[in-house]
Amino acid sequence: MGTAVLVIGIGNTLRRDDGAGWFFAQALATQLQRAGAAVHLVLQQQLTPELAIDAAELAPDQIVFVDASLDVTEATLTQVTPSHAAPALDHRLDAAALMALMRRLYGVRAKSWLVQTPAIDFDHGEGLSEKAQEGLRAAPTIAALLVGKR
Amino acid sequence: MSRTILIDPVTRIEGHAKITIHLDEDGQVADARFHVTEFRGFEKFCEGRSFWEMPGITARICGICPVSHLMASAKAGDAILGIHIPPTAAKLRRLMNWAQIVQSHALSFFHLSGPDLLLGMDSDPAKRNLMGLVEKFPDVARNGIRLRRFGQKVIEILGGRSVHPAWVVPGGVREPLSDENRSKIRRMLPEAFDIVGLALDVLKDSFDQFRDEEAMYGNFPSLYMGLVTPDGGLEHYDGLLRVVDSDGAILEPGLPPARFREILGEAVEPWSYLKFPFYKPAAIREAQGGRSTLHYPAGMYRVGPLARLNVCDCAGTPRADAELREFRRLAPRGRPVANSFHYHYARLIEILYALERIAETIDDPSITDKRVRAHAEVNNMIGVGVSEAPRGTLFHEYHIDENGILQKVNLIIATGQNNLAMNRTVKQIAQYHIKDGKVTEGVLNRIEHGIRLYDPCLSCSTHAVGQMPMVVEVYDAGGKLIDRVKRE
Repeated sequence: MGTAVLVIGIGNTLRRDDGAGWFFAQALATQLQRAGAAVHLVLQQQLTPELAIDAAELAPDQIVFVDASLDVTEATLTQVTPSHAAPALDHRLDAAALMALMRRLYGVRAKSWLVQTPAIDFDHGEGLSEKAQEGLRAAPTIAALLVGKR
Repeated sequence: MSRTILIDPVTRIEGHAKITIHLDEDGQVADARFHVTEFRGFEKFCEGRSFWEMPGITARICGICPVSHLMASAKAGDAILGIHIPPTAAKLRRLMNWAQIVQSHALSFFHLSGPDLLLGMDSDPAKRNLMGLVEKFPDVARNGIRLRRFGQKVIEILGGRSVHPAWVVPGGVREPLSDENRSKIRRMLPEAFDIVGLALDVLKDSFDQFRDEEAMYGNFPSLYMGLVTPDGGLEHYDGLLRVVDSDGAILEPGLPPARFREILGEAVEPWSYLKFPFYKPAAIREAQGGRSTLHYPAGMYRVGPLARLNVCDCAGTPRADAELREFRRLAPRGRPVANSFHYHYARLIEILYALERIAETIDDPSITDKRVRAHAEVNNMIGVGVSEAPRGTLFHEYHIDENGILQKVNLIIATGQNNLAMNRTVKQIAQYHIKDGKVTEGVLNRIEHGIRLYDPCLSCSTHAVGQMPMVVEVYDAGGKLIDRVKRE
C-alpha cells in the first residue's frame, strides 16, 4: 500500500482565482495517485476544526493544504509548523493552528505542507485569471517534490 | 466633559461590528451602541431574479447558517406556488433544520463562548480563543468539534454537502433519504447525546462562578417572540408566531407567520446598517412639539433560544422537557427567564431537543419515502417563508410579477430582531463595569461577551485580509483622542 496523503483544497470557485486552491488540489491529487499514493481529497471554503477528525480517522503520512495566494508569483511548497497562536480572526483557522489542534486533540503526527498557488483576482465570478491558470501547471512539479519528501 | 469609548472590531462573532460607549461629564456610562459596519445589500440585488433561484442566492448570505435561509426561502417559494409539500419532504427539511441547530449552537457554545466561560473573562486575550481551549481543555474542545461535526454530517448526508447544500427547493427537496444514509445518521446519535449531556453538566456546574454575569448580562424586561406548534410546543420549522411579555403574559397566542407585518415594524438608525425590528403594539407614540414621534424601542423583543424556551408551553420531548423545567426555575414562577446570559443554557437545551427529534424522525417509517417534491406554477404574487434559525425567527418575504421575477424582497433576520436587546445589553454591562471612565481588558471582553450571548451572525466574509486588533479609544467632547487601549 502506498503513502497515505490527505490533500485539503481551500477556496471558493465563485470568487475567481480563489478557486485555484480547489483546482490545484484536484490536479495534485491526481498526480499523487499516479505516483502510487492513497489520496483523500477534501475541498473546503475555509479550514474548520472538524478536519481534525478526518485526519485522525485517515491517519495520513502527509497532509497537504492548497490555497490561492496574492503573495506568490509561482506555486510554492513550504512545510507547516504547528502553532497554537490563533489567527487574527479567531473564528477562522490557518494551517499551522489546525495542525496544532490535530496534534493536541488527536495525536496526528503527519508531516504537513502548504502549497500556495498564485492569484490576482478574488472578485465575484467564476473562472481563473491567466496568472492563476499558469500556476496550476506546477501541479506535477509540486507532486514530485512531495513524493521526494516522503 | 463627555467621552466616547470605541471597541472595534468585536471579535468571535460572525461579521463585522464595533461598539461605542459614551461617557458623561462625570466619566459614567451615558449610552452604548452596537454598530454593524458591513453592508450586504441582498434585498436590493435579488430584485429582478427568479424566485426559484432564491434558496441558492440567499443561502450565500452566510456560511454558518445557510440552511436557515434555505428553509425560509423555500417556504416563501412554496407559498408562491400555493402548494403543500409532500409530508416526507417536510420531515426531511425539519431534519436538516435540527442538524443546523446542533452545529450552529455547538459552534457558539464550545468555540465562540467556551473560551470566555472556561478560561475566564480576565484571561490572556492572546489565549482566550479556540486554540487556548485546545491547550487547556482538550476534552471540551474535542467534544465541541465532534458535536458540530455531527450536525454538519447530517446536513451533508441529506444535502450532498455541509455548506450551501442545493437540496431544499420550492416544492420540497431534491432527493429522498436512503436507508443507508438513515443508518449513518442513527449511528452518530449516541455520541452526540453523550456530548450534550456533558456540556449541560459543565455549564450548570459553572453557574456559581458567573453570578455577576447572570445579574448584569442583559438582565432586563422585554418581550419574547418565537414559533410554537399549534398546541404551544417548541417549534423550529413551521407553526405560529407567539409573543410573550416580561410577566409571562401571552400577547400573541398564535399569529400565522405570513401576517407578521401586523405586529412587526422595522426602524433604522443612521449609525448602523442593521435594522431595528420592533413589536408594533408595544411601541409608544409620543407627542413632541406638535409632532407625533414613534418611540419604537418600547417594542423591544428578543428572539432565539432563550426566547423560544420562554414562549413555548413545553418542548415536547422527554429529556428537553426535563431540562426546560430546570431552566424555568431560574426565573420567578410563571415568568420568562430574562437574563441573556442564559442563552448559553437555552442553546444546549435546544441541541438536546434537536437530537431527540432527529432520533424520533429517522425512526419514522415514512422518512425514506421517495415522493419528496411537489410541482406547480406561480399561483400567488406574494410569498412569505418563516422558520426558526439558530439565532431566532427568520422571515423571507417575496413580491413577484406574473413570471416569477422578484419585484421586492424583504428579509428580517434573527440578529436584527435582537438588535435593540443587544444595544441594551452592552449598555447594562458597560454601566456595571466602567466607573469613572476606567477601561480594562477584562471589561472589554465582558462587553463583547454580552454580544456573543446572542451569537449574532452579521455575515460570513471569505476574505478578510490583515490584522484586526481590538482598539478602544476614548475621546473628549471635542473629538480629541485622550486614551487608547489596543489588543494585538
